[in-house]
Amino acid sequence: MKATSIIKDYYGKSFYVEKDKNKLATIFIVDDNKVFLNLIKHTIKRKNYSILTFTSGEECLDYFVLEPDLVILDFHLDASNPHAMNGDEVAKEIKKISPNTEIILVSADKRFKLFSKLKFTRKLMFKDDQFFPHLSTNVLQILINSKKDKTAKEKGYTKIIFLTFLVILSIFFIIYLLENT
Amino acid sequence: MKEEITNEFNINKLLEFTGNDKVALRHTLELLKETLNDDIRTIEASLKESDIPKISAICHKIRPNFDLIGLKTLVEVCNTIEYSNLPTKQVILLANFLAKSRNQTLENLTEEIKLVQ
Repeated sequence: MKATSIIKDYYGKSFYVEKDKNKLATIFIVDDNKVFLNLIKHTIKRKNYSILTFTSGEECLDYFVLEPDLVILDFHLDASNPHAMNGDEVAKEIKKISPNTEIILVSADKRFKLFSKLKFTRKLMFKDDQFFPHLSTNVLQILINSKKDKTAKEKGYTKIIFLTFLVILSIFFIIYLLENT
Repeated sequence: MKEEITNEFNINKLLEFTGNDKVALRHTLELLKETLNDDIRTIEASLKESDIPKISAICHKIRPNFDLIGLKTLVEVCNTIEYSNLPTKQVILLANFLAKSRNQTLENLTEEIKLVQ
């Protein structure tokens, strides 16, 4: 996936988007409630974060060329448009397009019982009094854990490559020994 | 009802969440005013068609907004509409109550915006 691309909006108008590689993390926020969209952005903003906000999951998915590290995703996105994708559908799409992108699923529904949706997400948060005070810490924690996971994965791959190389080398060495004895 | 909503209205949570950042506070209050107006209009339109699922969906959306400005009564009204499976007549009654509260809430928000300069 390219870090820069030309994307088309709903009306077919094309424009150029580019990932800011100087930033530590690219974060998308998706919520059809503009008040929360704005407050979430205000709460997590840091100089080294690149933050983009969207009022629909469909629009957010269009911008995935920017390879976000984290998506803060509201679950109920169909209040204004009953045909809009809800958070679980968006999360599924995100994991298809970009498996490494972390997701925080957010809901105003305290009786939220869709815990199965957690398989797509790192965390489930409720829009209650604890939401904003804990948000920044959760975002930071998830970004750190995600980086650790990626490093561990990369280390794992390096180990596999090294071991494969050793096995091949040993085979050649055995063949060499057999030929010379 | 006017007194009830005015008495409950407070921006303590907003002050806490915006960290006393006046620009963010003003922007949030303006957004609250704008979206409240739009959402109540949608509720009014849905009332005409007795579209209960739509009313319920909007209640789900605006409930956290009412909570941000301390309007506990309206939070409860939204909760009841959303979760209580009430007969249509009662939902319409409660949704009308929400719609009627608009002017008072908008007035309170406008006053608060003026104060945050």
